[in-house]
Amino acid sequence: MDDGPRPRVVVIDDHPVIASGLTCLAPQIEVVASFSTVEDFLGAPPSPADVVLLDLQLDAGRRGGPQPIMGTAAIRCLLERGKGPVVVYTAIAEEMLLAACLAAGAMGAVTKNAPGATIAEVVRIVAHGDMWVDPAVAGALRRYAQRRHAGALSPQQANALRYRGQGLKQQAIADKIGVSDPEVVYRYLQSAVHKIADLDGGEATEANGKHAGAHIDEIAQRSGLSGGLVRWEDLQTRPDRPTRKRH
Amino acid sequence: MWASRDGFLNRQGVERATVGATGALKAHNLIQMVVVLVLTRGESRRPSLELAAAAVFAVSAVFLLVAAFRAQRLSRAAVAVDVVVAVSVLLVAPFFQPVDPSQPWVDWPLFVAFLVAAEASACFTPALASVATLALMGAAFSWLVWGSLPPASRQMIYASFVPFVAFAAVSYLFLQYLRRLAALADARAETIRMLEEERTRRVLHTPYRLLNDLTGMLRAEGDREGAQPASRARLAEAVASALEIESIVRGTDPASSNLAADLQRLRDQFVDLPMIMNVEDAGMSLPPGAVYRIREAVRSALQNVRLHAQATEVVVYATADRLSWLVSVHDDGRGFDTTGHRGVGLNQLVVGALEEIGAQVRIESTPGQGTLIEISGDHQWTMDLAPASLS
Repeated sequence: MDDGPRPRVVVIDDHPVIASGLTCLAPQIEVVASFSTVEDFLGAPPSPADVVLLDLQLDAGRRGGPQPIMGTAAIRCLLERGKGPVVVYTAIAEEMLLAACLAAGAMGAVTKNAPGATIAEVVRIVAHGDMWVDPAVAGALRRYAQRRHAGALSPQQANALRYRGQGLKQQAIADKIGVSDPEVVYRYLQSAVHKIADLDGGEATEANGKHAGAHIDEIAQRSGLSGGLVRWEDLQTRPDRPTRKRH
Repeated sequence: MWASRDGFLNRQGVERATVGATGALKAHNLIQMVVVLVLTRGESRRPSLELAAAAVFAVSAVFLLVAAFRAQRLSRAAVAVDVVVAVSVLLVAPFFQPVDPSQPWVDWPLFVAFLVAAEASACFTPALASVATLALMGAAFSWLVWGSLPPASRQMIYASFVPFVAFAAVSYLFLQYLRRLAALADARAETIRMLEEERTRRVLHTPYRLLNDLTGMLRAEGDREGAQPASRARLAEAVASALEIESIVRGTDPASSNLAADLQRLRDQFVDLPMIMNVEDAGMSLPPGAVYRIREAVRSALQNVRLHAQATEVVVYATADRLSWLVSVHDDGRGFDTTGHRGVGLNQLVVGALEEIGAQVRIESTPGQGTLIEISGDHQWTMDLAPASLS
């Protein structure tokens, strides 16, 4: 796992101690810079990074002043400026919220209570160009797909989500679904996430607020978190989305 | 009704059973008596005397049964009245026999007296029961002094001595046996109750103190700097076992029918594991008996993970729909060779309990690549899984 150079990471977190803590927690990664907001990161000289580790909520302890860019808006903002890939690193363990981040273009989402080895693995996978889906997120997505879009996922996509939801790793999932190249598993997971996001976007409008993102944001607000962590339009404008809809 | 309320398996139960048997036999006697009276109508020398004798006997029988059912045992006074009535009926019987001397005498006063002898032996002392039986036999014997007694009836009197003695003796011996047996059962039950009380007292008090001390010591040991991971895992398991025993002492929650909720509750016992509880909340309603077995299987699997796997990630996954359900435990730990080592993944008893209800268990593991335990099934259970079956 430690073969080759350590992946370089930029950390965007409103708690600076997180960045220094990461160095000790996951020595397999190299933290090259840290910022408190997305705006600070974008305004600073470019840092050579393989992955941007982004906290989802960046307004803790802030009194007054403009609201910083957060949530899926922050993901979109970074991606549109070519700053990526993005891994969401958050204390919020709400599976569908993390799934929305993936739908908005993040390539991984990991909670702050994950062990250092897991964080390092997520960064490594994403730096390699693949999407990392947490088992809890995979399980939640599969259940969500079964309820709202039954039959929409291909058998391979559905099985990849199921086995990932059970906690299986890449090679084991490849063995289970019968593909020789384990890298294909990441593609199935990624395509499953995007297909569910596309289906949601296809049947909802911003006005009627039926998009999953609207529900997720309600959950976040009820949990005492910031509102607006998930914006409908961020899920509609993923760069590789085949048909973009703007209303 | 009696059986469900207080049971028959004690001394009181034997008395109740005696009352029940007496009631049935008495009813049988009265019916037989009425049939004979109807069939021999017009033959009696004094029909009104015969009817009066029958009525008195019937009233005595009803009185005996009412008293017995109320007291839940045969009343000695009522039986004494019944004996006196039966002896009297036997003594007056020759006066209402048929006018025609060639006709056999009516025998109902005789056969109803057999049961009275048995009643006496059921509730009197042996001496008093013997006196009552002899009185009844003597009254029957008095028929022999009548010169008009036909030969067939004479033989019937001699032959009746056997059932008189047999009814009395068999009833006495059988009831004595049952009463001793019931007394023995009562004594055993009392001993068991006292032992259970003592056990409960000890279970409730002594282990509490011990468990509190032990848990504190184990936790302190587990938190000690520099402890080896393996030893820390064993200490965590020991703490969990101590807490589990405490929960048993307190009285465990029987399994609900909500598998998701039951699995979520397991999380508290495995806080030391890097666990993801990926459990679907909706549609996880299974029979409590199945939930119990599945939950215990998952608990067993997680205990094995704690002790053997050294995993960095453990995922408990559960999903269900109308047709089937699936629960799995996956860890990314050391794994093991599954050939011949099934028990490392899941205890054989646990597997047996699952297979008993029709569930399938699959264990996949490779050294160095973790372990996946899948428990699955449809909703066709192969045994009755009512909540009571849990106990």
